Amino acid sequence: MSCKDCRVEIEEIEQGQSLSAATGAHLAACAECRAFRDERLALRQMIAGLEVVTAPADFDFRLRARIAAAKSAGDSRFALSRFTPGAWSMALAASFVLLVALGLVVNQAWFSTSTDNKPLAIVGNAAPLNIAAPTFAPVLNNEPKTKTPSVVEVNHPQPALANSRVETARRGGEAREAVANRSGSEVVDNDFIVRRPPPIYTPLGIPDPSAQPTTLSIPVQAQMKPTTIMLNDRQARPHNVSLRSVTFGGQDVFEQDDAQKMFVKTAQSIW
Amino acid sequence: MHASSHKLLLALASLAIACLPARAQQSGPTNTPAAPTAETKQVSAPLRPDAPQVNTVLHRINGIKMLDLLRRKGAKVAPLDDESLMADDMHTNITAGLSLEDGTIVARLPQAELEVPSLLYTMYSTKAAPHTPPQSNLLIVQSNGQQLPATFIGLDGGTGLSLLRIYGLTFAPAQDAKEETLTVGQRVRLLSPARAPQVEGLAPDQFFLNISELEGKLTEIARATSGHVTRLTVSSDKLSQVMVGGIALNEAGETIGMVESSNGNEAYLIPVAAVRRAVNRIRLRLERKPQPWLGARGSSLFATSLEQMMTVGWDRNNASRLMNLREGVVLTSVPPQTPAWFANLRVGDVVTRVNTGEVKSAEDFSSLLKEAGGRTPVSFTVVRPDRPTPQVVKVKLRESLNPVLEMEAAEARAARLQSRDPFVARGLETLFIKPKVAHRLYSRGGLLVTFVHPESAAWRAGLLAGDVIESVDGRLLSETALPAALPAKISLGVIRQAQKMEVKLVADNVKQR
Repeated sequence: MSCKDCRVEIEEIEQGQSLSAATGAHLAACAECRAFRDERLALRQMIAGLEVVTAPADFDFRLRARIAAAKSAGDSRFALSRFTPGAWSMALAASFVLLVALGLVVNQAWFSTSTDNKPLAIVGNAAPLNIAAPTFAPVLNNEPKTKTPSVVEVNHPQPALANSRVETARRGGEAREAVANRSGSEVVDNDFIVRRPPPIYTPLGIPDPSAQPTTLSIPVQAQMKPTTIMLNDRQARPHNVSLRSVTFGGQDVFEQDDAQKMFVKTAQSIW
Repeated sequence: MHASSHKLLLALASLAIACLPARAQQSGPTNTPAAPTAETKQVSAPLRPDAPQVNTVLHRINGIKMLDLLRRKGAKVAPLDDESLMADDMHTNITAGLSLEDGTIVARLPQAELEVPSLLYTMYSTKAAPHTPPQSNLLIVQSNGQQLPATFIGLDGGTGLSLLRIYGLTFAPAQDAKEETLTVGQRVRLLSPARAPQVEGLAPDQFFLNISELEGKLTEIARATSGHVTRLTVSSDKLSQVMVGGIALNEAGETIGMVESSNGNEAYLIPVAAVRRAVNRIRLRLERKPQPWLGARGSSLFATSLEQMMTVGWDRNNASRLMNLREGVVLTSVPPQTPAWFANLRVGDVVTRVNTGEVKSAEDFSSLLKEAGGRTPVSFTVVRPDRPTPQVVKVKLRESLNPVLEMEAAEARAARLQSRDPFVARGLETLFIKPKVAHRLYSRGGLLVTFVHPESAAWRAGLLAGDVIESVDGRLLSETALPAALPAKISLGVIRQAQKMEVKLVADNVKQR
């Protein structure tokens, strides 16, 4: 395999996929390609770590309220209090407000016909939206176009987590569908792509032929610093104990073994 | 163009862009999970074809729930001085989950009891007194890498297994190993999530996970008198508590069971048939079918340490002798006014038989109680710390729609009756906070509410976990001293999410006007 072929495969591979054995063998022998792979991996991880800006849940309501207030007041105080009044800015502001309001109306009309009063379900090969995904895959836009299902339903049946988010993107024409297909999502209208979450199993490098090919790793975000807390023993004497931030399986939350014996009950069954 | 116009353009452009995802988000999750539909599809093929039934469950706990966990464990927390306790993800437990065909996942969550109150909140919430249940933060990472939020469905008291659901999904069926194929000496694969080797360049709050695998051998198959397998013992030389909750498979990839506990080089498994029985018990509760209720807590003798036996009244010699038999369950809590309490069962009693059935494990005890039913008296064979020769005790079980919730309520009642804390008597679990924490919670100090017992006076008054009680009848609470007694009707100055409010709290036995 040539360096060029190897790098093309590294460029094109999706997050969660393994490199081929031939590429792996090439990487084992070629330091330059290894450096290239490491650089791409670091770039993807950096992109994955970027935050997505979402509006608060009540944004729509608040925006409408402000528009209504501005209209009913009949003056141009809406959103202008922080700016110097001027003819140009006033005209632009009014245009934008109208544009936003129009967008909302159209948007609402679409949602009311496509998802309201319907059971939420997965259609076709669509996976449910990943509302807690810590990462987003890099978008690759050189994929061939494939046909997407005409029916689109956003499956989002779970209560939102605190850090829930939905990623959207604006793109045009066929490229939009291609990107949607590539990222496993579906085109939901001419302006939206609701993207399927990427798999979060991220190969950390080339598969080691001697290792189990099924062993992959996923990144997880969690508070890592142990918390120190003061507990009183039976004689009301205070003791500092550390609580683990992350435990696996049946590991105790207390870092000290004796804390469990001193203060707390064991796990119990209930009948 | 004028500088202010630039500002205006920028602000409005941000506004226009921001409102689009906001609308999309609104169409998404609601507090009422959608019911599963006939259109559900199977998830895509897993990356681990040899173990598609093994998932990873992340259970995140915020600071308030962690404080409640400490209370439930019997820890006495000193006045709070560490504001990091207020974090949303103060603790994360990572364990294995066994996916079932209908989209549910069974997991042994060590902190599952923290999610039970949410079921109580739902049960007792009415239109007149609506109570939003505290949200659970459960995330499933499937074997194909997809991560999905899950809902807590219920806890099986006997096994400690929790049932979680991802609405709208079903899983590819995984085969259970048949009991008759199990043989002592056969190879067993134990799978559970574990921390992967650290990678350079990660943020301080990031780490990598994978599914680790241990190899073991089946060394014991314990069967009940009815013939079904009640416990499996697997030996392996690298066992640790990390493996508890893990999934045990045979060489063909069929599920053998889930790890209930481990001790040294031995892991004790809940057989997969017992896992299925536990799931059925939870489902019966969902269908609101009554089940027998004893009103006691305890644990399998084989999973109990000598020290733990001594804390419930046993002397070392008698406890050692009894534990060598590796049979029975030891009772560790018998609240007043429960069927167990009326039958004169007490903490420290070890139940070895129910009628003619031998009790070899906690799950076994649950199954025997279920067989006995809730309407006819049953005979328990019991050995006691002060009387180690077996004796027969007649017990009249009660029927309950949810024994776990019933037990929670019985213990809460007992705590309210027995406590000298005037707030506990009204259904409030609280902790004093020091100035640093108080400042973070926008208060001048006082008591942080860590739990509100459902159906208590505090519950009816609308108090919530996370509230800070700053004053009682206009007097600020001092840093460490609780009032010895409270009038029947009090007015609390409460800080909730930086808002000051007044809450009238009336004791249970006082009629409200």
